[in-house]
Amino acid sequence: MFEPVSTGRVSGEIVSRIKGAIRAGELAPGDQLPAERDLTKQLGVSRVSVRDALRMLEANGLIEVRVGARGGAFVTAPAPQLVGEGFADMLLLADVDAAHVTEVRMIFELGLLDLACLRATEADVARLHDVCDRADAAGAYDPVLSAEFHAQLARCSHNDALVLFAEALRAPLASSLHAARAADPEAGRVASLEHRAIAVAVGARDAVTARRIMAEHLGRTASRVQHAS
Amino acid sequence: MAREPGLFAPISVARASTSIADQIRQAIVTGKLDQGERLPPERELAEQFGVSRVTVRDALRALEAMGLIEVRVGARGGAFVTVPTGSIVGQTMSDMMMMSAVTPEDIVEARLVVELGTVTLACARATDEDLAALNDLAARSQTALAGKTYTRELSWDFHALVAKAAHNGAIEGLTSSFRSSLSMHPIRTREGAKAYALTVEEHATILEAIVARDGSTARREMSKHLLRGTNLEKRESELLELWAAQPSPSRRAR
Repeated sequence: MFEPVSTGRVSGEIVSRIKGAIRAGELAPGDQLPAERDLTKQLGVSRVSVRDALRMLEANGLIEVRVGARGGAFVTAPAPQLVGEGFADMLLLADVDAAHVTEVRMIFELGLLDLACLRATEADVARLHDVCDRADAAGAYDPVLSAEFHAQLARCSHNDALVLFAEALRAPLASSLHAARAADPEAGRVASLEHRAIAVAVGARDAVTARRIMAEHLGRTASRVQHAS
Repeated sequence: MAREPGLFAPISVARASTSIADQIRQAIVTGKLDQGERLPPERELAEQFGVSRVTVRDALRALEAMGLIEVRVGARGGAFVTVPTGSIVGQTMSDMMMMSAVTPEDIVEARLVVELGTVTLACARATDEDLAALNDLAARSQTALAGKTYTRELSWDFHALVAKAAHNGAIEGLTSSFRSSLSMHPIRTREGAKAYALTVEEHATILEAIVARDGSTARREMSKHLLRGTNLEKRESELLELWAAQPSPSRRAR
């Protein structure tokens, strides 16, 4: 006579309760959730449902499960990489082509660059040059330093939302890009020179030049990604 | 005993469920598992992976949360492969923004960056079909306004159609993610009939610019639209000046 209540629904309800508590500020990053047993009692649900809910929260990057004596489920903020992965899966499965992803990256990175030219402090610009110095000292192209340059540049915009989006969109392209650069060290060298030129342009508040170099820089990424895929 | 190699390899590390979710995710994104396909039953998966059913269940919950599978109950039930939607990605974006203390002002500015880029592309690439859909929405909006049934959903529909006219799947996906994440972070507090009338009027002006393929007017009108009621006009004025000088993009993605 009755439809069985799917445990998926119950766990979904638990997920939204916990999210609600986070949204209301009752739970903040770093806070520990009550133990599974206590949650089961408090919510009047089965332990299986609580377990399912915790797995879903974990997959959404909202909690981190640590094991050991001081273990438990702790509230965390989802990392931009997680949004990037979700976005990458969506784009991959929807057959979005790499050139289109680059076009969106271009919109974000050029927007960021304009803001960087308007808002970067002297300390921000010094940090950009510092990353370039370290890349020069390292000699060979280093994808970690390249990512650090773009992240530092994003911070020059003084807009946290844009920093997160740019980070999220960089992820879908990063691995194929690194594979392409590793195969052609010359391209990596050019990229390092472009980073330096962008740092100089941002320091001079020259948005037109900064944009031109960045567009070439990302445009080359687009063609390399297409070759790689 | 020699056994036919299964689709998945057995697991031997801690946090087996994460590793299982990863393997299934890889099989989905590389096309080894198609959309709509049903995963083997939990029991079989547990055997293939060499783990307990509880561990498999944990992995399935994680995949469900990522929008990669959908679990249906009943006789024809099971776990089916699905394509993650913009709303699932948007949910994570929304959580991320909520917990990273991103300000509403930052979000308006991020939206400016994306939507001015989008409307510029729409001016270059909109087809007759796109324009017909936008015109149709404009007519429906007028009717809804007259009947006092206009909602925010109709306003989002306009932005979604502009994104569609940009002919870039990544932009469409991003805009649909915004729809679910930004609607939870309302910027304008007042949204009465008067504000909706302005919204519809502004959408019409933007549409006119798209029809005329006039990128700079479209950008100017879109920025006015996004900034109305936010007290950010002054903060963004320099940025808008930089954009006013932008050349038009090519009609195809490079």
